[in-house]
Amino acid sequence: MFKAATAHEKFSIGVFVFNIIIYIWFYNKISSDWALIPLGKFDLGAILATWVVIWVIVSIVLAAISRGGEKYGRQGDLDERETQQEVRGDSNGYFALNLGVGIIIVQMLIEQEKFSGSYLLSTPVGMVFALVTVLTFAMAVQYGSIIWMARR
Amino acid sequence: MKKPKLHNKLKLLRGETGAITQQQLGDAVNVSRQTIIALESGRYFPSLALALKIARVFDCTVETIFWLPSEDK
Repeated sequence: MFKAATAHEKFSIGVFVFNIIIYIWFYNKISSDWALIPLGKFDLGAILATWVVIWVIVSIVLAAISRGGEKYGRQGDLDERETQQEVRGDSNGYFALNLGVGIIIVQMLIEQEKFSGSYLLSTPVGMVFALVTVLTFAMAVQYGSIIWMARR
Repeated sequence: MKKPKLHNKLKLLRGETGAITQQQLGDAVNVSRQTIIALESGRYFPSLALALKIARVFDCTVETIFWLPSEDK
């Protein structure tokens, strides 16, 4: 299956899988017993910075590996079918991002009243958690769409 | 709205024209082999430019390669 995929598909599969892996790592860092840990600014900043740096490194590595000497499917050199997949994936990802932001806004409004749970977003950890969760969800939808369209 | 169908005889033409492979056809029209596979199976509709390029490779008209089923207007 993986062998028959274009570089573009391989890159998308890689990003999709890594997206979930790094989210699990992130979640384990900021939570304990299904509740967010009240981390200090320095610890939280370090986790967020690590998250960003890992993403940058992994994106570069995945792009390099997925090329694999193939003539087509290089990032930035997609054929028309792959471009179409990319556009639809972006559109779905954007929809997911909107949905996530909407949910966060509703959650924040509810918190003003009587909501109390383990995932309060009014704390710095809660805000970072919400941001990363929504980004992860949007990216999963975006790259999941691309993989689904390429594989169907 | 019902998704339209587009028939093609790319596979047949590839066989007739000196057994050109999917990879060779892809290289000739600047798309990946996976796109040729998707075209042949009818899962992907080509752009006008790609259809014209393919027709040029086989030295025939676009309608010879791609056509709509008779019920589609």
